Amino acid sequence: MTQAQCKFIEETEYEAPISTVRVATNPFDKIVTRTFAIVCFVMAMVLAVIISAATVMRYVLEMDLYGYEEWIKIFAFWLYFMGAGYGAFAGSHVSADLVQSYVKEGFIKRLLIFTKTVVTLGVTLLFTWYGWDFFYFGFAGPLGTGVAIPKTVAWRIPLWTGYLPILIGLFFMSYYFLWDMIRAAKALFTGGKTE
Amino acid sequence: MIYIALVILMACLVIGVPVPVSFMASCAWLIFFGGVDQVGYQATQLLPYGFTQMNSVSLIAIAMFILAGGIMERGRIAEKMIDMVDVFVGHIRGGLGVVGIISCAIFGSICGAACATLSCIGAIMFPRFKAGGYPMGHACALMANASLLGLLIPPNATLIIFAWISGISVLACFLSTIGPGIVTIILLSVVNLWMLRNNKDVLVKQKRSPKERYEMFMKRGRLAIPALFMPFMVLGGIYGGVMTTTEASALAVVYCIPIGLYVYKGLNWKTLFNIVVEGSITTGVIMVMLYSVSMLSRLYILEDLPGKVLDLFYSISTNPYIIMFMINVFLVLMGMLMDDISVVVLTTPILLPIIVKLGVDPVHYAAIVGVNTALGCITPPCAPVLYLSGRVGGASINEIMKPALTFMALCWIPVLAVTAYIPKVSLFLPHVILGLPW
Repeated sequence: MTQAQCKFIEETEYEAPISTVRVATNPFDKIVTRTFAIVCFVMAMVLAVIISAATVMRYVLEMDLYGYEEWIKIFAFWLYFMGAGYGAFAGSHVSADLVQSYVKEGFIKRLLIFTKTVVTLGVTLLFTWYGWDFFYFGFAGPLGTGVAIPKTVAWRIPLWTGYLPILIGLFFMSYYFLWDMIRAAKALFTGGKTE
Repeated sequence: MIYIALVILMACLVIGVPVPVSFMASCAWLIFFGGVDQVGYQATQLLPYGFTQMNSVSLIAIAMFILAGGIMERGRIAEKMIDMVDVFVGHIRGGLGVVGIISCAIFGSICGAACATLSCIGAIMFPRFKAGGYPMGHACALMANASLLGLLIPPNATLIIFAWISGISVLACFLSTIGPGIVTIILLSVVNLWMLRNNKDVLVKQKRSPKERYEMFMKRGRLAIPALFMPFMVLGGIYGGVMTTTEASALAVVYCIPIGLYVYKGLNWKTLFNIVVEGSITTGVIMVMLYSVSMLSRLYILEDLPGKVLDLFYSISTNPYIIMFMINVFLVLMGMLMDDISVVVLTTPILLPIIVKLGVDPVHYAAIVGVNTALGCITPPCAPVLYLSGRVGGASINEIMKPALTFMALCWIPVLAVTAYIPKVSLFLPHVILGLPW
């Protein structure tokens, strides 16, 4: 092997991959995805900093960050469900995709994809409704009067602050699955190419 | 009712309904028709149950490791590691392949995800393989197999999820896959060298004197120290009992941001923002899946699905070895259809009670699941890592398939057999470090 070849092998530059997230084109999607992105970034950074600070305080300064776990769990729910809502827009939710890969283009494939989107939307809407009930239970309490609402033990943080991202996440999942269904219906009835 | 719920689940998965929504569809059937008047079936109880299950600090580690992996992937850290490993084995025929395997193992101990490991190490290694005269089909198959070490060398999200579902120690699960991981590294290296032994197209670097190698080691070692400190901090912190997994993962994020921004300079603030958002999406997708599976597994247990599956296994054979074989085949088949995390969240609540009834240690089962899910990532039709490797390395699936099957037959199947039938391979480290029985 020549020196030049060795040099090439050892000094090949690594190019970082570009962002793989789908870019929003209409103003509403831009506002929604930007909001999701900012909330996710802030929550992720806050989680990393708070947990690291608590670790350093405990092991180095031998102090305790009082009840920090209650805060980070709430922040974590915001991170999880804003990420899930954004994931529905980006088409990142995991699926087996056997139809997409192994069924030939044609009416059957379009019908199967339309069925998939109808089932996806129907089930997500049902769970969004359950999510609303769950949030309302936390917000208004068991009697629906705003009395005796569930709270955390140490900081008395109302638990609906953790239920709310579940509702928002499920709502936007339903919203973006609705658009998937509209696109699939268009493809089914006009004979267009499926995604 | 439970059988219809299973049919709904499988039908949804086959037509391509997202995995968490498929779980919810199966849940919805049981909510409406499973036990209308019985306690535990109502949606008003299931959503709070899912919330309580998810309200766990240990799950935050998944989000943090995903973020740390993303930051490290684009922070130019991998280059320094590869250069360091290259000093030791780069000069032998096929040595570049061994460099790739060991680099994947080291990088896997940071990010714990096969695709991230592949896209990061692969992007650096593939041009080197090409220049070194390697057949690209072989190179892509090798890197696809090696990147799965990210699922065996801890920490990784799959095992955290397994530990969360099964209620066993995350640390014990992490330790259980190290033994099979080391066996895999050895087998992949040996098979790679054996496959290339007569290939005259593969170029071999000029041998360097010990003095030259020492100087190179010192020079590259200095550059690699900040990168190599990360696995040392994470694994040392966890196994030394200094930190919990969640704390180590958060510190990893806080540590790797300045390293990526100011030391290796592979990041800027905009890239960092994008990485965190992408990582959050991945986390969100996993967490919705966990939320839905926590509700579904409760319903399956109320319906005694594990008992029914065990009866089915017993109707075929009562020999524990044969049942273990059937469980492995079932896991491989599931891995052929779904991604690793979906397989874990779907099968663990059903199979773990069976495994415990058979007298198998749950920590041993964690290693079996680890190896099976890794193998599933490269077995078609759903072989995301294999396809990704072909795309990154620029080889067609036909070129990759033959060497990939050779690696599977000579590396992964023996590792799976050893892991399943010789428990000490996976239980040795949990025994030595945590004092667990074996």
